[in-house]
Amino acid sequence: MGKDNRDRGIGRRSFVKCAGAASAVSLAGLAGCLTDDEGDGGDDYPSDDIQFIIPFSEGGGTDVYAREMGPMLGEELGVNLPIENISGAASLRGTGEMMHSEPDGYTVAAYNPPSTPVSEMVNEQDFDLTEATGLGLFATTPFVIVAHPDYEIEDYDDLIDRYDDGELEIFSGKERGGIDHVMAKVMREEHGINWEEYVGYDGSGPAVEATMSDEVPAAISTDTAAEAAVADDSVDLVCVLASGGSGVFPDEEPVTEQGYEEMDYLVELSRGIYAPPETPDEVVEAWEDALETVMTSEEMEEWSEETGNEIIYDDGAAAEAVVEEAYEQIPDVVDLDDVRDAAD
Amino acid sequence: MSIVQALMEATSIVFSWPTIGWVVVGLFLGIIAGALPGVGAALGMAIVLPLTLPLQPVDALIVLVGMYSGAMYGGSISAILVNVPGTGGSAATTLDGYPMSKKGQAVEALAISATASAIAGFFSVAALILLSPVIIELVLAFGSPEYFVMAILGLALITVVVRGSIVKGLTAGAFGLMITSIGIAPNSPELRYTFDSLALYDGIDFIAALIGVFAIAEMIKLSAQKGGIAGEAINMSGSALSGVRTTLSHPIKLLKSGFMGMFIGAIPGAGATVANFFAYGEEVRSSKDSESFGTGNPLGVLATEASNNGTIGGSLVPTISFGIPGSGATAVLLGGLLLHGLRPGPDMFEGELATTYAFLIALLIGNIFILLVGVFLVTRLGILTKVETNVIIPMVIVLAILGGYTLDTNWIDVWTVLGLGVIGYFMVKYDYSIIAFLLGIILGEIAEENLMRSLQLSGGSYDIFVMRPLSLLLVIMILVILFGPFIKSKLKASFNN
Repeated sequence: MGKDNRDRGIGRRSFVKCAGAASAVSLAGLAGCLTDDEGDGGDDYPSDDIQFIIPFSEGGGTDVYAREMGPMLGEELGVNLPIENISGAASLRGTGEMMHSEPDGYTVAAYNPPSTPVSEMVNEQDFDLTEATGLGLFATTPFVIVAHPDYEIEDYDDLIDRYDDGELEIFSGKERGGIDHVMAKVMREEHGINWEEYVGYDGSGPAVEATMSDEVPAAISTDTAAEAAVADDSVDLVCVLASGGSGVFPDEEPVTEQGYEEMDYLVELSRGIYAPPETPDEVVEAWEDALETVMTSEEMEEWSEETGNEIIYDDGAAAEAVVEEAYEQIPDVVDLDDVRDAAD
Repeated sequence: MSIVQALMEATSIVFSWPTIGWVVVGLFLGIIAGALPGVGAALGMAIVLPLTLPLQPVDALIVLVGMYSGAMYGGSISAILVNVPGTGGSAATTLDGYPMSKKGQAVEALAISATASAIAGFFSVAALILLSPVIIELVLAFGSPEYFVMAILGLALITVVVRGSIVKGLTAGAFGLMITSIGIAPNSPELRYTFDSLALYDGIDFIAALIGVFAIAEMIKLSAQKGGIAGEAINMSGSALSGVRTTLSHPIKLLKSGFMGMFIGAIPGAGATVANFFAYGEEVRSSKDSESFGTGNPLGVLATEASNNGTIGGSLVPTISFGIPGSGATAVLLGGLLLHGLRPGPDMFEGELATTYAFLIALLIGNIFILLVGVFLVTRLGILTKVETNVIIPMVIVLAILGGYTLDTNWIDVWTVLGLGVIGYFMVKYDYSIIAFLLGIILGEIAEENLMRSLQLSGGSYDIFVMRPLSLLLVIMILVILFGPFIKSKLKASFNN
């Protein structure tokens, strides 16, 4: 301890200052507090920073898209687009934050019908997602079914037969009460896949992993979450559920080609951007223009090709339509009380 | 490309400019993010992620894994100096690290932390390069029944680490378990004690809880004390070099904790916090001088800090091999891989082998940086423990509250920090074990979710926990921990007779 205390005092002060400053800056950056003052959605929209809410954690699928296209969208709109991850409550917390904001175009959120609508149907909230203003769709992610290789399941027909003759009983996917669980129930009703027990996991990744280790024979997953395990032959790809097929598995024929009823309102995530109810048309137009330019840009296409993250562009009306369809169709085919009780 | 070729190419990439510079930048940012309560690796990496876009993919990944490694070490700095674990992975470090600071041995504790982190980090990454196929097998052998039994094993450690009244220890543990029943149930969409608030939907964040019970509780206690954390009458003793020496003189303990961390880290969902407490529990259990833990035993710091940096090597395996992130930080890393056009899966060990090796080698090199910075620079912060408490207390409280809010921009976390801070103060005062409480709150959800799932898989039969070799082994370990000391003393008595 040969050093003089005063020297160390400087070190201490600067450390605490740096620590405090760094924490405050990270906080401000996250909260988008660097904005001067709120805009009012007037003729010159946008004239201020726009808060871009991602109701999922950092590093998740939606976050990866947002962080890639966010700066480009900001450039098109001529303002900053600070991303705020308000995760939790099965994406309802961040979505609720947006729904309760002023409809001035300065708070928008990205979420994925029918996943967020299903969360809301199961745990009803004080906002109506069908009233949200759609600003556009930027991607679709189809669901697939994977199975443990030892079962040598050939296709969807074969999988259904195995459940029918009792060889298989357990089916799995993400958490009970979420979209995969609802999907499994609808598939039982519509396609006759007679599983007895649905086992839920904390995300598509863990469900695929449980299939790899043969804890469960088969699981629902997004195509991207299953990609690595399928490439490694750790799991077999059984089928692609969405009628448009999968960009990750382009050679796999969708189940609709095999004569099964189309259920795209449920088996394909549409990634969209939404604003609060009654957002003015000029805001919607500004976003549609910016989103179309960005999603059809060379830079975005290159990124999509490199990363396998598929991109599309569709307008605000299409974004609203996928939410409405989810609310119209799902309660018709699934008893939501049954899902809430998680009876099986 | 052969393995040797890939290793050589990777080495030349890492040592070229500016890549080597990015190693240092990543680690430096990570140490700062780790030392700030509530920020930690995942959030720090997420903030930096979009900024890595202009970089070469390999440089970007090196910055991110460097941050991960730096943050794992950085968390111990505030844990040791002011009883505020910067990350969940350094919660158990406070248990002996902070008492060392109070005894005037902050510099030695910081040096032990840096040396143990660096050496364990180095060996676990080196082992990862050699052992990745074995680790993949372990990941797959660990199913829902094993997770449940592992959580119970952690809860059984309460009997090992509790000092004084075991009833009070179990009460504290049960309190922690009860808190985990708040929020949506893990196996059905049932809401419990959320009072119609979305903020409570996911329950109480255990990181907020541990910031509260360590930071706020200790600041309340300190407010009655004059002078600094180390007390007016205490002279600063111990040096950085003596800390390095202490660490190097226990190579077996160091490697045991490091590899324990590596294997626990490889299990998705377990992570650094669990590893940190398990390594601490094992160190207390195997020590002949177990009573000295909690009062500033350097081995407590050594074991915990070796284990959390050990988790890094382990947690990278499921992330790179299958795209399955086991923690928040590896989830962001996975985002980083995808953002830069690298797809997890077999290609990372075939076509992209050189890139994979490059960031593993960067991690190896990074540990040397941690050692140098930790021993020669960070130990200078030891003087913080002599600063007047009336200066330290407001700063720590502000950092703790900011940390709570930063976790998830959820005010409930701030109330948790404050509320459990006050409860934690009274728990310490009346001798209710904080570590038992934390084991309850950390392991409760893992135990509940996996118990329910295991019973679903077995059709309601409890045999599933003893019919699989790995879970049977864990059950036997639980029995040894619970009844071992009792049987041992009985046997001793009968031999003496």
